[in-house]
Amino acid sequence: MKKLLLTLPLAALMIAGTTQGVQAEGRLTIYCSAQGDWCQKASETFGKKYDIKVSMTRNGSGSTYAKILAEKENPRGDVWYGGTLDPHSQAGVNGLLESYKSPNLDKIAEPYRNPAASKQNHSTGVYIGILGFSVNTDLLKDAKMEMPKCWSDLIKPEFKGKIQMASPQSSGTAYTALATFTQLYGEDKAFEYLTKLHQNIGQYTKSGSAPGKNAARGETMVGIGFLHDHGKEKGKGFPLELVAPCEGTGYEIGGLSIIKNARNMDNAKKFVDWALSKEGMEVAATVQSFQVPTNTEAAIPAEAIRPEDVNLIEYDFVKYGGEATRKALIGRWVEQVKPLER
Amino acid sequence: MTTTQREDTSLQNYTVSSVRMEFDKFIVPTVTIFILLLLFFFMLFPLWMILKLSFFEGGELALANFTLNNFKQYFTTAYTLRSLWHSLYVSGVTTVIVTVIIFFFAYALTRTTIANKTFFRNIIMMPLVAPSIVQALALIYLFGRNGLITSHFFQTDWNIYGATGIIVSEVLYCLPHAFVILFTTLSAVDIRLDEAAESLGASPFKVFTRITLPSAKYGIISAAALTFNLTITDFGNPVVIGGNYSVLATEIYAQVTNLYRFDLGATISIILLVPSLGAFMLNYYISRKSFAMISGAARPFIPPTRRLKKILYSVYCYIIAFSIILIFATVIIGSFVKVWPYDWSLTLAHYKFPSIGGYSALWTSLWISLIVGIVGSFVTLVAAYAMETRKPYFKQVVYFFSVMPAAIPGLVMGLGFILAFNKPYYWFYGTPWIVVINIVICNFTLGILSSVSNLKNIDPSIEEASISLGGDTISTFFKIIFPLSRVAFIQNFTYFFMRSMTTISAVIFLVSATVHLAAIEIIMLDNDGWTASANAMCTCIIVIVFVMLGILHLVNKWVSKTSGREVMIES
Repeated sequence: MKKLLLTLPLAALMIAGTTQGVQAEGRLTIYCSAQGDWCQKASETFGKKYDIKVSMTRNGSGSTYAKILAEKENPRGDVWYGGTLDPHSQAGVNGLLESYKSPNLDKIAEPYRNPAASKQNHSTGVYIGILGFSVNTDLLKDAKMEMPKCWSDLIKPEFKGKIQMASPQSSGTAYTALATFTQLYGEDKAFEYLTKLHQNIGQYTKSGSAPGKNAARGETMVGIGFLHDHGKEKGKGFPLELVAPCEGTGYEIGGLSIIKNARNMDNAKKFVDWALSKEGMEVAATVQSFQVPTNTEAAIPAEAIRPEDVNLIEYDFVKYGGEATRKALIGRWVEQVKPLER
Repeated sequence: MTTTQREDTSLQNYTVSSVRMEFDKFIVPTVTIFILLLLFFFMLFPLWMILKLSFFEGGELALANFTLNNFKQYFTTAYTLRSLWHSLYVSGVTTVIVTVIIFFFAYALTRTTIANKTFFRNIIMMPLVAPSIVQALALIYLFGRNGLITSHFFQTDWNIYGATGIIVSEVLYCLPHAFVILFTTLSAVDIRLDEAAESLGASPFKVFTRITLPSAKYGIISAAALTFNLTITDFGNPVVIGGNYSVLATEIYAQVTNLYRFDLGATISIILLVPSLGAFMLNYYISRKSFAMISGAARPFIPPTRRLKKILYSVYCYIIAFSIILIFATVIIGSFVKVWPYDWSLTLAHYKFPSIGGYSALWTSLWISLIVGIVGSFVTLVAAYAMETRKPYFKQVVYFFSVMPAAIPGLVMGLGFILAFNKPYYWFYGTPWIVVINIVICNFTLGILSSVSNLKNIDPSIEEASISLGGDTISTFFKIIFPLSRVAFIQNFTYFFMRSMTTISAVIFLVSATVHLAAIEIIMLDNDGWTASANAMCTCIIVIVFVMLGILHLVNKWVSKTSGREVMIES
């Protein structure tokens, strides 16, 4: 009798456990590299619309690339949503992604239809975001410092310990910064700059969107990252000023790709179609993510910083999305900059 | 004493021969072998995979593949090697601080007549109900770059990130663990020795250094070893407050999740295993010895303490209790205010978790913890029963493997699980079940130890009576042992449940798109800069654990009231 009493609830729990576990029908697993709340909103909206059980995990695009690579033999994710294009590009070149031409492609602005290095429709651009930095104006005022306007301002000694940037090892955002400096200054000069910048960095965060949030909360005076992430914080009322640096700056194309041999291939395609639609693109603004959508029919949020308003460099997505360049740049940073004492 | 007695009687038991006894001979080895297989497959096999991957090229076992390259790379790369020195430094300093602080705290609670002892005892245990990240979250709110105290009260640029932050948070995290050991030691040591020395004219200082300290030395070393082990294997606090100050645990995580260098992750795991294993062995060796120190004539009476001493110790205890309360208050308040420390208006906005885990992660954690609680306490009780009362042939072997999990850092076990079970044919990989198994194995040791000590307290004659009346092992277990150890069962359940709700390091590698856990969500939220929501998630966990503790307390009361009567009826 005792035994029965004990095993009954145990069995019930076990059944509860397995039903939440496996089964792969009407399911979709999204690896998301956009902002957390956007990822969630997109997953929910899509899941509800098509009655599909969506699982989602958020991670930086650098880490997500590494995860997809590690799971090559036994892919666990179906679709990779958001995050800088470069890691998407690299995954495409390395055969980790499925080619797919969505019927919605003709609504996407031409440069973003097939931007990845492989040129085989592995990835589509879903949004454009501009790299820059934002400054906590309260902290700036307290320290009686002048508003930095250029990348070169950030290496002034008075910013020592006051700047945050993500680590290029985990964050696509930080890699975009690395590639931007390289394209602005040439590689050697860029590393000279990064070495000086290193002296002023208080902390390298894991996630690319963290420096903006930390600048908003005053945990750091300056945060380097994508300005649309920072605009979101500003919109919440934090004392934040967004700066598109005077020398010119790089930008990101947010990638969207299907993982090769995805277990839920049909749903993955359905998701890509949806994410490229006007409806899918406009989800971002509902959670205050103010990127510029690539779908020409989708509304550009008023708060978004438009590419035509700032000094943009000709970002070479093919070269800097290539594995060799990416490995070399990150490797050089890890060897020459990261270990330096501050 | 009881064990030798039991050995004799249990031999006699087997002379009662019947078909049932034949069945008995079969069931005990089966249980023992089952436990052994469990530990082999879910502990040794993952460890073996880590060893293989760190010493053999590509993890392929062959003489030609043997390589020390991974270790060479670790020891010759400045920034990875640094994590080893950082770990040793942080753990060393934490160990000294915790041991000193807790010694006097435990001393105050056992040897002085200060008021509010129950209050202090409860407060010092509080860190156990929260993940080992709550300290770091609170310290950042108080002493971070924009901390309430650092930048708003004192307006200094100084902040707590880095080694200082890790040390302070680890100290606050390790207090309850070290306290349990030193409190037990100091309550057990005979106070009359101190009195005798004092009445013979020794100065208080001399009494303290010559009598009190030496008599508690095993407890002190044991507490120190445990603190060192906890600190060096902790992941939650350093990952949040360490900033760029990497330690071994965070370096393993960075190698595996940022770069997917499983080989280097495995290598650093081996390096982490060495000091943590050392500290564990020391603790194990000492704790066996220290039991011999406890005198049967120890006396609980405490002579009244001098006024000044009493005031000083009271203030001291209040400071420590206040620090712990401050940590919890900061996190809880921080989860309800709009923008710490600018806008103090209250809001529930941070409880709208911006990640898909959100509340579903809390529910997953809750039911996983319930299963872990039931499975963990049941398996350890059965294992302890088979080992303690039935003396199977390989008792020593089973015992050895049962205490081994305590020596293995959760993070290392988690990595081993990925390496061993990330194959399509292990159906449980990527499901919540692997999390359940991992947490049960990681906390196996304490479950076994408390079950064993509890079984030793059950009078063997009741069991013998059951057997001579014709009860077999299974019915004896369910009708006699299980009801009698229900209190211990509930204690074990509480322990497994709490560990399961709060552990970070063991499961950080096992969460996936389909399995989100609340404790891990805290780290994810904090990583992405949603600090207030991280605090909110932390608060939710604390509330769930407290509610569960309340429920279990009531159940415990009810069980201890009824168990005696029921056993009488059933047997």
